[in-house]
Amino acid sequence: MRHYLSMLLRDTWFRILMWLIGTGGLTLVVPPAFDGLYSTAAEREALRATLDNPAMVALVGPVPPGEYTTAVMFSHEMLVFMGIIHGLFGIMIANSISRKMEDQGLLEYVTSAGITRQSIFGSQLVIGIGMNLLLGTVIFGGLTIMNIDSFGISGNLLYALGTSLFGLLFFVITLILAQLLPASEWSFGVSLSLLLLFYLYRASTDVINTDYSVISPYHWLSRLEVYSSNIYAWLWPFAIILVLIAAAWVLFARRDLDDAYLKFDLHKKTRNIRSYPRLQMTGMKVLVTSWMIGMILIGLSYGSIFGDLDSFIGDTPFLAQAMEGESGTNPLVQFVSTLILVTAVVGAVPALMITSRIMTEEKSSRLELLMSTRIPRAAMLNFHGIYAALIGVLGIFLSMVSMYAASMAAEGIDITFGDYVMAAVNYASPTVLLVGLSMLLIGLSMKLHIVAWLYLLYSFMVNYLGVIVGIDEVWQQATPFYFLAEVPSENIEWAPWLIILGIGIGLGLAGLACFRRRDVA
Amino acid sequence: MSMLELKNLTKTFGSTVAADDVSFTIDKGEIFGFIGPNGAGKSTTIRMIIGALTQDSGSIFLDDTNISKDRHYKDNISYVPGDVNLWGNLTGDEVINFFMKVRNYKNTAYKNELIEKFRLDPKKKCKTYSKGNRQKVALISAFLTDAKLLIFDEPTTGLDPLMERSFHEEVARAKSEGKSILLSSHILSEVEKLSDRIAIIREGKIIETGHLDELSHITRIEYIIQAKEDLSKLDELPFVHEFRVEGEDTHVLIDNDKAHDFLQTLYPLKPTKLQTLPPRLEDIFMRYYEGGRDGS
Ligand SMILES: Nc1ncnc2c1ncn2[C@@H]1O[C@H](COP(=O)(O)OP(=O)(O)O)[C@@H](O)[C@H]1O
Ligand SMILES: [Mg+2]
Repeated sequence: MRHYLSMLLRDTWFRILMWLIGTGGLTLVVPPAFDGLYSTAAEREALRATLDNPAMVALVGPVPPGEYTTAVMFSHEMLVFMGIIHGLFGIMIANSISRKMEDQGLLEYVTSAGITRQSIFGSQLVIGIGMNLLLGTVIFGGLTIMNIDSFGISGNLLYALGTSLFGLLFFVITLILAQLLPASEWSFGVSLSLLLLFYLYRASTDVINTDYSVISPYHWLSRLEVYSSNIYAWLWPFAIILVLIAAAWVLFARRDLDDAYLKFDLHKKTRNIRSYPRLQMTGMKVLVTSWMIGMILIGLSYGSIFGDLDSFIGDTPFLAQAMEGESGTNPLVQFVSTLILVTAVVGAVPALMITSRIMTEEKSSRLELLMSTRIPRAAMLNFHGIYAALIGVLGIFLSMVSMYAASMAAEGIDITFGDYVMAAVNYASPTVLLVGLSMLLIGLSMKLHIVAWLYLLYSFMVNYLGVIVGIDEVWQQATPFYFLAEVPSENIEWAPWLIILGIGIGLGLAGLACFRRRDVA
Repeated sequence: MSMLELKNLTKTFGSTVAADDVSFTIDKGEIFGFIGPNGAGKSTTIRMIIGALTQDSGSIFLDDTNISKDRHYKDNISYVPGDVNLWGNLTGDEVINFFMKVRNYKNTAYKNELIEKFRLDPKKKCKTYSKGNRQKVALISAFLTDAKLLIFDEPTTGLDPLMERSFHEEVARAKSEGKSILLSSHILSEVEKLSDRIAIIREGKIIETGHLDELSHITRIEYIIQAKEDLSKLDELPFVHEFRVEGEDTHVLIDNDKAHDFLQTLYPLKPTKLQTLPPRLEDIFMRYYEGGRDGS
């Protein structure tokens, strides 16, 4: 097992390290940012009242009882949301060292070299436990060293344990799905869907009645009440990890390699794939469909709480005042506009995934095979860019339409269908900008492309935190979203819209020019 | 009459000189073997021809036109990489059809013939294919085109001997149609039989080009001998190398251009068995470097 483990580690350490730095960093930059933001207890109470509304509960979970200290504010606003990141970490690594390796024939190869099933499974587990333990240590250590007021050791430990166990839970869930499903795309897709469905489920049950939320692991994190009551007992549900590990092992031990318990043989008929765009659209069908469904779900879940939001804001003068803003518009509409902004940032994710696909082609040296035919390289990248922009905008549009549909029953909101459509139009231009950036980075070098993802993550964090705590505007100025009008509370401003669109197209064209010239890996 | 001409191609990756002043010419209707050990620079050279890499210096002419001046030169090239990766969710048939469509080629009768010949199950998804089967898909797609130059990078590494023969037949057929073929390999005997001419590359440099017969001054052939008389004195001769005894058999490597001298020496020793093994690449290098040392 030592040999196999060291081989796996050599293959994955860099990705794990990047995740540790990214996730650890993302967690640890927040406490100092929060510290001193609300210096008096009264201010924090006011903020807590702001957050105690259906929209925010859906986003970050129920407001914990007790005093709302900076630390409690941190755990409340971060824990559930960071759960997605920790879960994603577990899923990505688990899938890459299990089903993906099997698909590539690596598992067969190492078993033929005398490495046992026990060693393979054992090594996978050691990596899952080890990486989460390491991340927990980094977070616990970081929080403790920063030693910020109201961040107690016990709370730090509980935060680290909770997130690590959450990551491990999804690591193990992915291992199980890797046995059940016939290909790595499936195990990845289904575990990612579970991660998001548990989140969306919790989002609605947290608003309706938290008793129902207990099924969702995200809610276990809320129940820990980190930094207030520190209820360690809510770590117990994570004991299910042990059951899942046993199940994963049994499933793995009792099947043939490359076999699966659930098999679906779709499309028996030979499809007629006659061009590069067709080829890629066929390959990305699952990705695009699931993201479009996801965008619809996001729209529906936000839209469905608008009714409650209305009565809530009416009862909360503080919020009404906060949301009134400069323009003196309806605070509700102002709030909806901010939610739409966050949705638009999320909508750029599938777009970047589509541009990234050309790098999958390149890494697997299929690009080389393709470009040895008469298909020009730039034409391939160009297709990815255009398709990415179209799908990105379509996703935003779909979530706007479903938001409208779900909120039709809500009274007191005078946002028309046309307003929602204009919102989608408004956020089309930053989507193009992100796609253009992505194309430029691909054109320069595959290694650089991570910057596009970091920039998107940054935009999300800034706008997400902007909603909650109103962080400094300087941070927002580094994202294109800052310069746009907040539709529908404001009217579209075409000048910045066009400039952002133009920059996006320019970046994309530069990307094409570079891509044509650079060496293919 | 040259189909492809490489002039002084150089490509470096960081401090590695992967191709160092590589030049050779492939004539029309010629099968050209490109031989060198792993890491010698074969794939790098080929990837410059297909435009995946841009050379640091030097130029490439296809049909006497510099490829940097002809945007459509790839219409005349068909390429199969050494390690073929395909789209896991597509069937072999779908992939072959795709390549036929993008290359605008329609001969389905020939396609079916090739599928039959290479014994490919085209209805299966590519992710279930072995390396050899993926290679077959790419080979079939390449043979189907009417490109004038076929480039195969280590084509037979994943094929079993029977399929290798089918491959050789198809290469011969392409040649008979006037196509030129570039075959790379790290095993000399694999391409030697097929090739009209070969080039040998090592550490990025072409060290020899020509027909294998013309290269006899750098090749050695292994002889396996049994004789009535004592063979041990052979070991002292200058053109005999790596003398060793294995049971009844005595193995020696003989400089190819000294075969005459060797056989004359051997005759009085009353040989009862004489068997030869084809020249191996390593032996060529051995002799090449010994020669280089002697000359310096
Ligand atoms: N993309 C690359 N980056 C860095 N080094 C490379 C790259 N491609 C090839 N090399 C190096 O160039 C040399 C020649 O490699 P290659 O052309 O693949 O050899 P061959 O095909 O003859 O086995 C090797 O040392 C290899 O490591
Ligand atoms: Mg090679």
